[in-house]
Amino acid sequence: MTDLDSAMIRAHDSGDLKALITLYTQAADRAKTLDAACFFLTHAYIFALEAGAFEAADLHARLIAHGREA
Amino acid sequence: MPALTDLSNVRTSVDQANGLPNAHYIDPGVFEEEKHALLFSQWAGLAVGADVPEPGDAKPIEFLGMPLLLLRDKDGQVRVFQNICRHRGMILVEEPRKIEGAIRCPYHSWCYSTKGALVSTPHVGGPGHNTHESIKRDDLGLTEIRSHIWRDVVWINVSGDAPAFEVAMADLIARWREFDLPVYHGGADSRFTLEVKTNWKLAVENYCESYHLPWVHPGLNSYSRLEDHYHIEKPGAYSGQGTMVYRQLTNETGAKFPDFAEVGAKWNEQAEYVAAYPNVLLGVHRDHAFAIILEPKGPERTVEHIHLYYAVPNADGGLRLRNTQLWKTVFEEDIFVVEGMQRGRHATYFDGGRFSPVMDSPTHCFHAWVADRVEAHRAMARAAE
Repeated sequence: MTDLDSAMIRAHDSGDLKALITLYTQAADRAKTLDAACFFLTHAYIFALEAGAFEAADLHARLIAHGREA
Repeated sequence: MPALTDLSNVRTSVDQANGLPNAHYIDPGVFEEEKHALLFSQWAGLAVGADVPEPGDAKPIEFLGMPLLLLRDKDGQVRVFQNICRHRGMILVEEPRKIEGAIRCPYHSWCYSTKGALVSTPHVGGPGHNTHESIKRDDLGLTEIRSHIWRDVVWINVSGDAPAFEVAMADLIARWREFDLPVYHGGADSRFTLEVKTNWKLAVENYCESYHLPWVHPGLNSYSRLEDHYHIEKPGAYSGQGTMVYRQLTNETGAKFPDFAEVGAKWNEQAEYVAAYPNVLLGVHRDHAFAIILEPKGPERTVEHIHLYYAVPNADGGLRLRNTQLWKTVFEEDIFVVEGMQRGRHATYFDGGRFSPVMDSPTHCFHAWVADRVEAHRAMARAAE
């Protein structure tokens, strides 16, 4: 398990939305395929939506750019 | 299917009528029938706006078994939704909390705005694909329940086909037009609940008549005698009682609550207590008001949610506490009565009782409304067959 995986699990366990947004965005940036990147971007976006976080707008734009969000 | 009860003798004149049959207080089948006939099809009280004071505040409420979500949206409007996701029917919000951004379903993370719009459907078209042509977000927002705020009470019409609230309650709104002013909830010390082993209708019936006051509330006799009261009756809508000798509460220094501005001299010593059918009990005075939401929990269980309101924000805290205690004492004095009548409904040979033609007409007015609504519901059911 990578450090990123471990950090994600800790963030899920503690319900730390801010960390989840950051960690899933990092995972998307490191992903090797577009599908994998969009999977992680989706999670980052959903947690940003839930938190009302400013990152939601940028994440939304990235997903739209790949045809993955409306 | 034969009618569950015979209501023919309930709808006759007060001097001849019997009260509602026992089954209307103890029978689960009649309770289910009345759920639709009296509560879902009307404007029923659900909660108060003060339950969700800030934008984003959300409170899950189960109303007659139906999971609802009381929510103040980002623009401050109070809304009521079914508290379930449009995807798999999962409960969305388990505990009262603040919605910071979107409501995220805890199952597959479909997200909704505080106005109920479906804003994201993660992986709905496969991993990382968040749209699908068959999933029309505009058609899949949260199911909103028709609601209206009046006197801070959140009224809902679950069936969605009642007349507009302003039409349904037009007469009472006009009666109390002088009180059509902002009301301010007194806060945590001005709300309490009473759990009572009774059918909710008995709480209505006891509230709307003054006949019992000298016997059950003897403390009132010193200044508010039975003859100082009058009946209030609007068939099909509400009934209650009024007093001509309301006396303001004072503290050690003689201070009183400030009046509702420009409410008029008529209300100097007059106060009114009205049961707005089906389940909201309201009281108005020159300097404070209250609302009681009767939450039916079953044929023989009711929770009374009591809220006290003032003409100004932050009314004097000491006076507020006294006033809360005063009303709590009065409402607690009524508990043995409504619980006693409830146990009495298990007496097989009780015929619904007889009314005092002079003193019980507000109660009869309520029974006649119940009978009319139940009969109308039964007629519709027969027509549907």
